[in-house]
Amino acid sequence: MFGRRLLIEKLGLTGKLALTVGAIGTAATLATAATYADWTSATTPISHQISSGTVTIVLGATGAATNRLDVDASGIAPGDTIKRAVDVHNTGSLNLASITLTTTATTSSALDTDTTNGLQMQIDRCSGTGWTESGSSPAFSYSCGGGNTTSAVLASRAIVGSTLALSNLTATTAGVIDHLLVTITLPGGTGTTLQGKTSVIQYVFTGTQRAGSAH
Amino acid sequence: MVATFPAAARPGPVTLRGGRGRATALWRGATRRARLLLRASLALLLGWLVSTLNPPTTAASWTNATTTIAPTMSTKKVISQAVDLNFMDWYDASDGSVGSRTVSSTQYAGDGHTAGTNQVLNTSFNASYYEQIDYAGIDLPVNVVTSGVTYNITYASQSAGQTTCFYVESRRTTDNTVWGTHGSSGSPSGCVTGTTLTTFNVALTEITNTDTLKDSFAIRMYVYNSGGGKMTLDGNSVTGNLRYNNGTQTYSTFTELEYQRPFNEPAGGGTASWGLGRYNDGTSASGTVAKAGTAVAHSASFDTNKYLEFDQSPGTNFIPTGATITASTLTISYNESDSTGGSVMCLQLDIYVSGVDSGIGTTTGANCASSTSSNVQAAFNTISIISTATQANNVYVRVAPKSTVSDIAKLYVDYIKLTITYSLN
Repeated sequence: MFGRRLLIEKLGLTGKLALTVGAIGTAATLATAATYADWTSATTPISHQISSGTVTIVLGATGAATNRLDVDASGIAPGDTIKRAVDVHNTGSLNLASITLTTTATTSSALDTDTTNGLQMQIDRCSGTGWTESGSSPAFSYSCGGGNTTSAVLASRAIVGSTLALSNLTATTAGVIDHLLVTITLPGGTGTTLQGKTSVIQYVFTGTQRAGSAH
Repeated sequence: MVATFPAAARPGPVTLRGGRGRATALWRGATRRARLLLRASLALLLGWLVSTLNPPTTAASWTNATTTIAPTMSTKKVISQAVDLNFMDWYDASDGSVGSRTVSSTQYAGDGHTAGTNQVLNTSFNASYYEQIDYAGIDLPVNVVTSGVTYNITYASQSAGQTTCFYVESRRTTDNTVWGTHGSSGSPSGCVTGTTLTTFNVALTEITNTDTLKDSFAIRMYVYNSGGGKMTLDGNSVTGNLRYNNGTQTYSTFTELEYQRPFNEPAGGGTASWGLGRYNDGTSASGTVAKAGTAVAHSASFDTNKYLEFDQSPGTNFIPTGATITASTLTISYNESDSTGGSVMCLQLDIYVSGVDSGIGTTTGANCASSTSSNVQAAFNTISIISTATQANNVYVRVAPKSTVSDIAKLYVDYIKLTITYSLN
């Protein structure tokens, strides 16, 4: 051992570098010599297609008998009733777990902030061919006849609400239309406190996909 | 197998016997840095294992919302209610010839009718001395937002060389609530030197709703006269706008006129009243009535050439354009001057709408007067002739009496008013 140390010490810096390079080169040569080619085998390609569905709900054409929600109501007084029909159509390919309604006041007044004496909203559904409209704008009236039946979608409540659960809808099924009637009332007995007021109410229906399942 | 560590890193001689004991010995023997590296590696490995074995199970849920729609919901500007307008001006044609128009001296500015204060004023401001103008607000709808409410006062000193200054408070007289103060003793709202009538307009920004104006509203003027003299009052109205759409838009204007003027001057106080200003505030006995100058000459029938005529104030606009009128009633309160007894006075009212004699009503039975000390009241349904705003704002009434006894009774009218029930979209 003393002898090896003495030899390295005698090599000096240049000798040490040469020795190191030589060692690395030897190692690389040995490694190359140890790599072999493998035999492999693969199956015949096979593929399948996976496509997603769509979640889309739309309202009837704005201004048509299938969507009167854009029709203003002015000069209302306690005891007045405002009726507006609207179709909700599931045009997507997926069934829905739910359809909810969110209403907001983009222009606010006591008509929407007074949840007791202010505007109240109720929604009903007419099956089959839906509501029959009569009267002239904006004083529409509706009937659900011809063998069609009504069902309650949203019980009367203050007009502004967030993510309101809607019941008895069939448009949760892809391709189905619900014929809805939004009825807005201003309760009687409110005196003059609500006169001269204006609110602008915005309606947004939101559909949420069905739960995930095996496919 | 025995391993030894250099003295510097050696915690002490350890004998390893393979397996767990060997690992423990390696751990104990590792440097601190090596232990930290090992711990970090184990933590990373553990995290990878957990994430691999337990993939996330909460998937995003697809939703879709409809295009928003925002219809406007607006209530009526005025929800159905009744308002009154009393007829404050009148003519005496009881002798068959029409006399000059009689008006409250301080109702209208610039009409040639003025009134002086009853007594001389103080020579400096004193909170005890004031001239107060009372307004009834009976022609205003309930609970409507107002804007630009202004007190308009036209006055002068009664003598040349004297200066009369004022500042005002808006008040509720029933409990002496002060809504706002405009000017002060140190900084008056206005001053007039000399006898030239001058108008000042004081913005009453504190008045924002008709309810305040209908609740025993008054303007109290604190005044002084540099020479200790009187002031001349010509007109003192309160004007403003009626608003809807959450108070953002004007749909009509209003003008309120005084119906009485309480005062407290250095020499004493009282209330200046206009005979036609207030319902049931007097009879022929107390004098706050419009008095015919001539007794009824005809006892058997009405003579429509001999009458008292009652007019609305010029430019009356108490029913706004477009209003839907559902009820209209004309009411008169009157008595007679016969103090001898025996006379029974009945009336025929000719209701003129826009200058046309449009309807006639007569009083009979209990609605005829037979007393000097108590009024009788009669009401006439006028919806068939007054059913629009234009009609309601353009009415005057001629009242012709007849008496069971000729030439002993004069007609005294305490009050005459038109009540309109309306709403406004």
